[in-house]
Amino acid sequence: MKHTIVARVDNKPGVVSRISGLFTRRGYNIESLVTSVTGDPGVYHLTILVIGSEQEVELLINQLGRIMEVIDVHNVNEFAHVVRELMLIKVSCPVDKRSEILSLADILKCRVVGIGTDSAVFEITGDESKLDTIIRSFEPMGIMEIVRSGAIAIARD
Amino acid sequence: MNGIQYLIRFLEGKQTKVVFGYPGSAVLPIYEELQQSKLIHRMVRHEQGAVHAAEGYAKATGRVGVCLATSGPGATNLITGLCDAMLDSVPLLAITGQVETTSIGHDAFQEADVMGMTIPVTKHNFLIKEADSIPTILEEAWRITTTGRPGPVLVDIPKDVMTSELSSLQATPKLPRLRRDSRTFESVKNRILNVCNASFRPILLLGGGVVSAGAGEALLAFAEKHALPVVYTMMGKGAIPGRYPGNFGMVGIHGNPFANLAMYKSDLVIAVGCRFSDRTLPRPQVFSETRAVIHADIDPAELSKNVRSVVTVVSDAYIFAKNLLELTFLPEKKEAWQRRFLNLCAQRVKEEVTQEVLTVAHCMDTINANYPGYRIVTDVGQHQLHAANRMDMVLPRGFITSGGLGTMGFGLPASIGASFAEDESPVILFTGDGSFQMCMQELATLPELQRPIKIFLFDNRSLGLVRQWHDVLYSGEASFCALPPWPDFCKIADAYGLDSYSFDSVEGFESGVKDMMNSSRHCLAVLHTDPGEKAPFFRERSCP
Repeated sequence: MKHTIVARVDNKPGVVSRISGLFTRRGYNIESLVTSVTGDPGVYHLTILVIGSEQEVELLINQLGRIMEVIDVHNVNEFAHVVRELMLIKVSCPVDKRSEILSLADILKCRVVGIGTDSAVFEITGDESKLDTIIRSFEPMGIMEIVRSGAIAIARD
Repeated sequence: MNGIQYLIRFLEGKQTKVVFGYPGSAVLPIYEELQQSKLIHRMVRHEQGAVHAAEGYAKATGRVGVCLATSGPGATNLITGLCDAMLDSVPLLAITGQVETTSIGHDAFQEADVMGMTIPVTKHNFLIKEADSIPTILEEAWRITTTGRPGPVLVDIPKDVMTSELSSLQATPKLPRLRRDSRTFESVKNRILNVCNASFRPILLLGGGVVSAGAGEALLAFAEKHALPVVYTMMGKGAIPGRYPGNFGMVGIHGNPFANLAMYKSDLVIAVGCRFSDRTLPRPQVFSETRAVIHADIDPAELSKNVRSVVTVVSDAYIFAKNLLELTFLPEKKEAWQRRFLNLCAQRVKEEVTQEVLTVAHCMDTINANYPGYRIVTDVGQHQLHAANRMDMVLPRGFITSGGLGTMGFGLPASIGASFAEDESPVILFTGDGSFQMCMQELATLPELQRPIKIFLFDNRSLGLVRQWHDVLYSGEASFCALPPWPDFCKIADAYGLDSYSFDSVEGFESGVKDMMNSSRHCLAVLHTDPGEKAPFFRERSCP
């Protein structure tokens, strides 16, 4: 099962290396890891997606808690939370198909952020299932490239 | 005041008695300054010796061991010992030199990414980038190594930072975060009471955390109050004195049958300061399915890591013991269990040791009976397991061994460190022909010591424990366990100026050992023991 771990850590050199190294050492695979600044310049926010059983993830969180720079760490699957991910998708878009693709993008609520001679780039924000749906919808048009930011999460209360 | 002057003043201020180290280019400023310091510096002959010596001192005293190494190879030579200290939760401060800040990242001479490579083997590590942060970082490092579950901390200091003048001596350390954990004693007190009252066959299991928290006496009082059998892991050896009749000894695959019997027949294990390693418990899954476990540890990450417990408590072992003592359990259900164990206690005798050929067991029994009051340091292998089973503990922190990592070569340097203990206890080192050769260069460090070390080297001309495992897991000839030519260890001792003894018979040993123990010099005895002798090896089905 996929778990979303959220950690607040001190903004110190090497902190991401300590955290990502722990995953390798303890035998976990990171699905995605996003580091971001917060309102406090001394604090980083980390969102880590990891696949494992509930028990495995509990052990992992305990191990993360041992890292000196970690202020707090939670499995947000246990709380009401919001997860968002940003995706840029480049779709094949020859001139004769342009209006058809742009109207599809409009229906899917994708923002156009770039138009080339043969391609269009769209920006979409959403949770994992929404992004997957959009990828499937564009597939018949010919997807040239996809970049995803990895998820960021925040507890709701 | 420059960075190094501050470092030395800092160590002196923390009442550091001894620093084990080895000089080199990047630590030259430290060595220059050490000459004017009242710190004792003991020069080892390999940095691995420095870190094990610091561990030996820390394990013998509970105080922080300090070691010093230069950049690059000096620092990489510390890694085995840091890992050892990490697994056995030893308070240790390693100071390493680093190339100048302007050279970092340029593959300079003797440059290595010491921060990167020591992250997995330290509790925490620091690279000091500017002199003004030295006071804060040193104070934080000291607090981290000693607070909560102890562990090694490494501080990497570039050469130019060492010699920079400090503009401020103000330290503004952040305290290591004490995580609030809901699993306090208070919150589970009633559950503990219920689980204990419901149990018919409770037992107390002690780990290294009991030793480091000094919780032995309090837990002994608890065990006596409820007539509980007590067993311990290798790191918990010496936690409580041997005089308690219900102290059954060491559990685990190298433990004794009585201790294991007590553990496997129990329906409740109260485990304090232990982590249920695979050497203590090869099949943790089955274990927790068939009995209740109450697990108390200072490190929340150890709870439910290997064994599923019905009650978990995040607590220092001493505080947990004090809290336990205030509880009183209903005794009636447990009477049959207590009677049975008092019977077993009475029956318990050490197995007969044949006297025809010289054996490790016999030599240790002789030393145990005639020379109490020594601090016992061991290396790793069969002799270590014999010692863990046969030597009675008189001193607190009287058994110094490499438990978690099983580092061959640990013994000799650790015995050097242990000889600096403030209680001035004399030191015996048990080692083997394999282990000894891994760090034997430290014989050169011995003449500088004040107190003589008595070294017993059990020479069975093979890697006995490896061979024994080979026999258990595979059949036929063990490969690479006996590699002639085996050196003449007496000649090696002579070369380093030690008195040497060689024993190959029981009679020779019994008369010669007196001379050796009465001598005021460092002595090394080579005991040519029976290569066929086995170390204790326990399987569940061999419960008596």
